[in-house]
Amino acid sequence: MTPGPDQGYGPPPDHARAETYLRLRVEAELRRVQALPRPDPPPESRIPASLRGVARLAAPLGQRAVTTVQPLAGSAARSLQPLAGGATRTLQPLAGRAARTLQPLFGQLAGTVLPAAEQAARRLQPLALQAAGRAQTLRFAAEQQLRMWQWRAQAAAAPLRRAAGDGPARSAELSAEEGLGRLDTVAHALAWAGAIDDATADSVVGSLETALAARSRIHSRWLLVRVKRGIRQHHADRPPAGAYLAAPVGAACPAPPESGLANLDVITMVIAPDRAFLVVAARVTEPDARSQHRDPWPVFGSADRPTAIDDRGNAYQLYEDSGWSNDEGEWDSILQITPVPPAGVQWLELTMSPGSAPIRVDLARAAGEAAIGAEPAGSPAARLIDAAAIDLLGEAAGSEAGRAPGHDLRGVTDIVTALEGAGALAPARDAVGRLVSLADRLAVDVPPALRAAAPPGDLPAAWVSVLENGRRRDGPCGIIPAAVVLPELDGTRFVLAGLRSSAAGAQLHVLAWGRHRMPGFFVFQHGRVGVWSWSARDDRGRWHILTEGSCSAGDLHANLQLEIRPPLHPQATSLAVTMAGRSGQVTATVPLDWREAR
Amino acid sequence: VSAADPSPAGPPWWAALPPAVAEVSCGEQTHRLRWAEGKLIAVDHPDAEGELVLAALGGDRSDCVDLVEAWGRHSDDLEVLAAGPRSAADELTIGPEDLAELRAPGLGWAAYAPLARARFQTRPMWIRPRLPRGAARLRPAGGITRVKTVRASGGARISSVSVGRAPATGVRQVRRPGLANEAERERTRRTELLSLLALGPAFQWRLAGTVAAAWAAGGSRAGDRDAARPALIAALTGRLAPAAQSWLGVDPGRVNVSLQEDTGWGRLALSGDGHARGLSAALPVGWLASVWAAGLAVTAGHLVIALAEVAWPDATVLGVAEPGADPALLKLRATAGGWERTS
Repeated sequence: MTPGPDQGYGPPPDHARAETYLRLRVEAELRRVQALPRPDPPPESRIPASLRGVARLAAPLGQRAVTTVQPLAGSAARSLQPLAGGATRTLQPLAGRAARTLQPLFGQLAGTVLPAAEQAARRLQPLALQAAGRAQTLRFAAEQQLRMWQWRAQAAAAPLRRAAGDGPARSAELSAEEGLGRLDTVAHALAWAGAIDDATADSVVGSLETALAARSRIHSRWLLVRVKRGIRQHHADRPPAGAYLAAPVGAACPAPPESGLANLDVITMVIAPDRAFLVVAARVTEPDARSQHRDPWPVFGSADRPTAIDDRGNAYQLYEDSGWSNDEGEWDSILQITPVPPAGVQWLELTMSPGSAPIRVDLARAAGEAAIGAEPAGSPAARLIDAAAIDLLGEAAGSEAGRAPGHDLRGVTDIVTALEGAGALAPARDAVGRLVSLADRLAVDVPPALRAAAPPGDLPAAWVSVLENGRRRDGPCGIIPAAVVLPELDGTRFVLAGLRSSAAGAQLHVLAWGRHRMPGFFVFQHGRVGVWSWSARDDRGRWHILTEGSCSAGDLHANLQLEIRPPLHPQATSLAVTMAGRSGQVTATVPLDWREAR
Repeated sequence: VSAADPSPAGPPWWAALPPAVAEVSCGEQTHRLRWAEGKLIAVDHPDAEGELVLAALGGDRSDCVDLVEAWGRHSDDLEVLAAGPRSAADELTIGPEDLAELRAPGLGWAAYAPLARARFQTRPMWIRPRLPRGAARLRPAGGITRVKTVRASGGARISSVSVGRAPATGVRQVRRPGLANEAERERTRRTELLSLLALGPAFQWRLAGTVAAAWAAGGSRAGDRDAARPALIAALTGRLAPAAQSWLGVDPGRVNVSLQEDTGWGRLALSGDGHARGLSAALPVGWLASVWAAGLAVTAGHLVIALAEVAWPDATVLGVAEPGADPALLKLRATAGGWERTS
C-alpha cells in the first residue's frame, strides 16, 4: 500500500534549522495566546476553608476533565455552525444535549467530591484518589461521546457546506490548550520525520507548557500529567523478552445460556512472556438485541468461568479482558489466561463452560516468530504524509458513498507547513502530491497551503484499487484462526490473532506489545503522531487498507481490532498483510481457509 | 568606549540592575532573599552553606536556602528564557497557590501513578469515530460499540467499563522505578523553575539575565553555544520582537534574529513595506543580559544595543535611532518610571 520508496530521502535533515523553526513557533504561539482573553480564576473562595485542602487535591482533576471536554464541545459547536437551516435545527440540539448532559455530570461530580471531602479529614488521600478516578471516568466517557457527535455533525455538515459553496469549517481561535496540542503534534511530526529528535520535541513542547503555566494560561497541574506522559513515550519500552507463540484453534462450543450469544468460536491463542490470551467470537442470538451493545458485556459468571489445564496438570483460569460488538450482531472478545503457561507446555485443554466438550490447543505446533525480514519502506516524512492519505482513503472506503466529505486536512497541512519550514519536506513532496490528488478525487477540501506544497501526483495503483472496490459487498463470510507472530519492529511486537470476514468487510485481531502507544494510524490529537500503516492485498489482486476499529490498551500491551476495507475478494485464498513502521515494513501471508462463523 | 565598536570589556552584565529583595515564606516565618551584583543570598540565613551541609546529613532544609540553591541550578538553564517574561507587558502570574498544588503531597507522582489512565489520553484510537456505514446517520446502524479495559502501570485494572477483572495476583507486576525517578526529577525541575519565577518580575528578569550571561561571550556555557543556538535565537527573537514593535511598529512575527558571534554589537535592517515590513537583526546573547534584562531594550526612541558605562542610577549606553543608523551614546538615568534620557 505504501507507494514505495520515493527517490532518495534527500539531504540529511538540518536538525538545528528544524529546532529553530519549532522554537520560533513556540514564540509565535506564546504571543498568540497572550492576546487571548485571560480565563477567569476559579471561585475557590466559596469553598469552606476547612475543605480547601481537599478541594485543591480534587479540583485540578475535575478541571482537567472540563478543560478536555470544553475544546471538544467548542469544536463540535464550530462544526455545527455552518450547517444550513434544517440540518442546524437537527444537529444543534445534539450539541446542546452534550452540554446539558455534561454539566450535570460535573455538577454531580462536585456534589460527590465535596461531601466526600468532609469525611476526608481522616481519610484524605484515598478519597481524593477515588474522586479523581470518577472524574477520569466521566471525562473519558464524555470525551468519547463528544467526539462521536463531532464526527457525525461534521459528516452531515460537509455536503451542505459544499452545496453552499463554503469551504471547510473556519477555524475559530484556538484555546491555549488546543494551541499547545497543535504544537505538540507538529513537534512530534518533525521528530517522526527525523528532523529533530524526540527529546528535543519534548523539551520544546515542555518549555511552552511551562511558559503557559507561568502565565496561568494552562493549569499548572497539567504540567505534571504531560511530564509523565512525555517521559513514558520515550522511555525505552520494549516488548517483554522471550518467546511469543500464536496457535490457531478454530473450534466452537456453546455460549453460556445467559450471555445472549450463540455458539462461541474459539479462534486463536496467543502466549507472550507476560500475558496469554484467547480470542473468541460469537453472534448475538436475538436479532433485536443486535444493537443493544452492553457495556460491560460479561459473558461468563464468576462461577462458570472458563478454565484450562495443560499437559503437566497445571490449571488456568480465563478472564474477559476486552471485546467489541457491532450492529451486525457480531461479538468478539479477548480472554486473558492466567497464569501465563510456562515454556515447553505441549497443549492446553480449554473448558469454556461447565459440561462443554474440552477444546485442545496444540502448543507444540504453535507458530513462533515468523521468519520475515523487515524491508525498507520509504522516508519517514513521506510515510507520515502517506499515512494521512491512507487515513482519508480508509474513511472513504468505509462510507456508503465512497466519499469522506467531513475529512479535515488542516492537521496534516500544519505538519506539511512545519516540514517545509524545517527544511524536511523534500523527501515527502511526492507524497503530498498524492494526498492532494486523492483529496481532489474524493472531493475533500484541500487547504491552500497543502495544495501549494506540491503539484498533484498520480495515485498509486493500490489506492485506486481500494477506491474502485470500496463499495463492494461481496466479501466471504467466516472466521480464520490466523496466528502469526510478526518480528519486532521499532520496539513493538504485533501478533495477528484471528480474522473475521463478512460481505461488507473484515476485522483482524492484532495484539501488540511494546510501544503500543501509537499502534494506530494517523493520529493528530494532543501531540500524538504515530504511524503504523497497515495494508493488505489478497491473491486475487484486491488491495485493502486496515484502519483501527477499536483498541484497548494497558501498560506495554494493546488489543487492536483492525477494520479491513474493502471486503476481501470472495475467491481469495490468501491475504498478504503488511505493517509498516518507522524503520521499515514486514509482510505476513495468511491463508484464507474459512470457517463458517457460528 | 567607541560608539562604533563597544569594548567587550565594558561594565559587568548586571551593572544596570539595582539590588532587589523578595519576601518568601520560610517555614513559619517570612524571610528575605536579596539579589545584588549578579548574586542571590538568603539574608536571614547567614550560614547558608552550613545549613546545606546539615541538610545533606539529614537535617531540616529551609525554603530560603532551597531557593538560593535552585537559583544556582537554573543559572544556565535555557528553559528560564523559554518560560520567563519577554517584555514588561508580559506578566507572569504563577503564584504560591499554583506552587502549592505542584508540591501537594499525595498528588505528586506517587499518587498520580495509579491513575495511569493517561493511557486513555495518549491512546485515542478506540474513540476514533469510525463508522463502517451510514456516515450521516445520527445513530448509524453499523456503529461499533467498544468494550474497553484499561490497566494501570502496576498491572491492576482500574477501568469502570471493563468487561471483567482478573485478580491482581494474576497479572504480572510491571515495575519501572527508573521511569518514576525520571518523572520525579523532571517534576522537581519544573516546580523549581516556577518557584523562582514566582519570586516576582524583578527576579524573573534578573534570572533571565543570569542565564543569558552564562551563554554570552565569556560566560560559563559560552563554549556550548553551538548546541544551544536554536534556543538562544528563539530567546532573542522572543524579546526583540515586542521591543521592535514598540520601537518601529513592526509586526512581531516579522522579526528575524540571528546570533552575532563576532565582536561588535551586531546589525539591524528593515525589510519590506507596509504591513509586510519586518526587522532583521543580529545580536549577541549578551544583549539579553546587559541590556534587555535591565529594561533598557527600547529607551528614548532608541534600541539600546550595549552598555558603555554605568554608575547606578546613571548609565551611558549605545543606542540606534533606526535600523541602519550609526549607534550613538545616550546618557540615561533610572527613575521610578523607568529609564530617562538625560542628554
